[in-house]
Amino acid sequence: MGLPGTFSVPAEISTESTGPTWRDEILGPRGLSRWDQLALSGPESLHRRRPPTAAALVYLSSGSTGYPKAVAYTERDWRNGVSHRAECLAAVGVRSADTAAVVLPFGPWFSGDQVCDALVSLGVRVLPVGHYGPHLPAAARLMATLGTTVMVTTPSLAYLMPPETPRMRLVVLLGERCPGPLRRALQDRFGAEVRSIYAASEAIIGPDLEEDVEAYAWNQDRLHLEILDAEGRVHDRGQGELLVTRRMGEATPLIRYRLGDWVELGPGRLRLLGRIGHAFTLASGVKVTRRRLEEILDGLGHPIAEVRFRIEHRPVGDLLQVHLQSPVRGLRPKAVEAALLDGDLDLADAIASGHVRLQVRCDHGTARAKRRLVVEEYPWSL
Amino acid sequence: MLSLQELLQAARAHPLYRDWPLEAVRQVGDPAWERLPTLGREALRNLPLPRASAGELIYLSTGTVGHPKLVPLGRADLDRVATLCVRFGALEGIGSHSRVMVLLPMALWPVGRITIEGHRRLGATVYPVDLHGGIDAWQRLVWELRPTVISSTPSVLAAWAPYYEGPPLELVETTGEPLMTRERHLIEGRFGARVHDAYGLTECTVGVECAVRDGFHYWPDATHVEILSPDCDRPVSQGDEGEIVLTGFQNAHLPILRYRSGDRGRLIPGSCACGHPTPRLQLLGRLRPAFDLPRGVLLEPETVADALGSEKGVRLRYKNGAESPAAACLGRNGFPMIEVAYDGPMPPAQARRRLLQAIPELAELVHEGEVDLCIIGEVLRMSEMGGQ
Repeated sequence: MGLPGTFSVPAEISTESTGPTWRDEILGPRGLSRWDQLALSGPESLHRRRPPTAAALVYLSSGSTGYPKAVAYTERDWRNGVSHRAECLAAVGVRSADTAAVVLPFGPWFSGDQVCDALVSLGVRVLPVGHYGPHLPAAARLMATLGTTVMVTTPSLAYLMPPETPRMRLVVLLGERCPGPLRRALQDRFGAEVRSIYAASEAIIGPDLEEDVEAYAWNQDRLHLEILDAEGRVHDRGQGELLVTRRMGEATPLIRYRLGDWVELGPGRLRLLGRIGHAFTLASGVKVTRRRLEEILDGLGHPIAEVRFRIEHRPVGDLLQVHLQSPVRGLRPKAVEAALLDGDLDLADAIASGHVRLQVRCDHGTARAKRRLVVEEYPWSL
Repeated sequence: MLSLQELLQAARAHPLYRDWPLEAVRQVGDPAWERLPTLGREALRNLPLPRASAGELIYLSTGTVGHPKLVPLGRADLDRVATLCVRFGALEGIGSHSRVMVLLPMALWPVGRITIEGHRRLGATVYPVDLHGGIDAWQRLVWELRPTVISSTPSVLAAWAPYYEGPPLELVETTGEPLMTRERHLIEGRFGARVHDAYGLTECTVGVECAVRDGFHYWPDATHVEILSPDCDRPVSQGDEGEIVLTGFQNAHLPILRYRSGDRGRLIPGSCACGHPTPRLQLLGRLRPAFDLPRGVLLEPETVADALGSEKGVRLRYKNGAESPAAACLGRNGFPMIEVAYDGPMPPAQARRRLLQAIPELAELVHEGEVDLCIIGEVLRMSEMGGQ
């Protein structure tokens, strides 16, 4: 498969990147001339990699596995990220006269700061709110005081905003897919146009399309996209796991990177169909995979016959109920709770932020040949 | 940094300084300068923010949201404050070899962002970590990230110190609240590194300790420090104690001229043993009674009174340790407790809701179990129930 003529990775990064994955593990001695023979990369390459010494900032991403992955930025990466985000925000209708509230995590997980910088570069007045539950009522009143016209947030956090939140012109959603009913509910609640930007911690993809908000565009000067189909073949279009190659990236170069999203890729547009191996999504956009849950259960050191994770999205926050059945008595809810919090920092952060309430119940159950893991996600009660 | 003329130009365009006789000022400290009034913290409350032509970030100053002090910072302002933080880091010895874990509040307050920017410009690798998650999360992250520097508030580090296990550190940075000598010793003992404290307000960043740690070095091109009498705008004698009054050459979006910090201090005469030529400031505490809560939160009686709409005022008591005379009244969970008594007909449950909604810092501390909030009416009702 061919590469668009604007592809400029070698000039941008091959001489400057210090990431070992780029040179040693992906490129190999033949360079980019044999593109279709390049190996694919994925989150595991980020786990292995130490942040390069040239990195200025390192954020964490653990959405897909629960293990922190380092997503590093050099100064130039940061500027590129800011300009890419600004381009997306402008495309979904953010204007210089706007006042925007950024209701996103700023901590180790996600760079709310980069969204803020992008908005400021567009001439916007920005209130960096964060995502911490106890702060939101006061922040919502501040949003009203400042005449906020735009809110940048995740669908879950938008849903959890307190009643004091003012109506506004535009809500921009990031971080997770927004189901149609939730989109319509947010439109009604905030009196706002609701638009989305498709982005992960590792890569910003692009804005939704005005004529079809379920589809996304991307800038081909910034990204080269492919898909990996169910048979393991790579294509330029069709359905499969999204492979991202970012044309600029010094500290965390992405080449044919498996983003973990199942998409339909067409000419100039793509549709996000879901996450691969996804179990459920918590408020603030935290995604938990079945694999991660299995690993945490393995770590309990106790036989489990059946476990049921029931996540309910409520207006006051998510309720995560975990019900375990074990053929051997002695499994204590506190131990399970501790294992979940210790095993998944994202989950611990969501609970500490007041967006998720965790309830664990342990019962005696009959033994099974294979552990049964059931996940039930109840969408927003719209 | 801004020149004096640039700062005065920004001030002339700002409603805060509409009636100030700025035209005659030629240089800082000249007679025209000394005739300028001072700016009280109340002036920043409910201040209308003129819409800037360029983009800007709106941050909060600690302590209030019911009637918040909002501090706008433009991109260039943020750059100037970050440049000042570069000087701080260089004086402490931070460089491209350093790996800095920033354990400070992010989002609504600028201290985390400024620290990130400053260290990033020194070539250090910076890990932004918010405060949420508590000691377990910090402990796990410190092994994941393996920092050589931790930057946080004294109360956060003092709370973490008994449990800290981690890699060897170059140094520890503290900011955001006064650092007690006992806390310094505790942190240095448990974290195994020297503590460098920094002093500044959201409105104006000031200075940092060098290795000698005899006061805060400050840079006159970034911050002009005056020590005035708390009761009038007259300077105290050289080396004497008074209110710290700040002029910042950092922020054009919110020019800060002769700003009364509410802190007591004195200028330290003579040069520092470290050899750095910058002047030094000694911080001696707060002028008015306010409560220094964990995580750098400063709770002032008027903030609580505003939140409760109590015209006759409130009475606050902070019971923060087993050695306190009020230890017997420590909260149900044994945590430090803020006791609030107020005049007025508002039911205690409503008062609690109002306080937690109006003061997010307080809500955070209560939510995370750092402090208990006790409304006097609630205690009475509980004791009545107990008596039945």
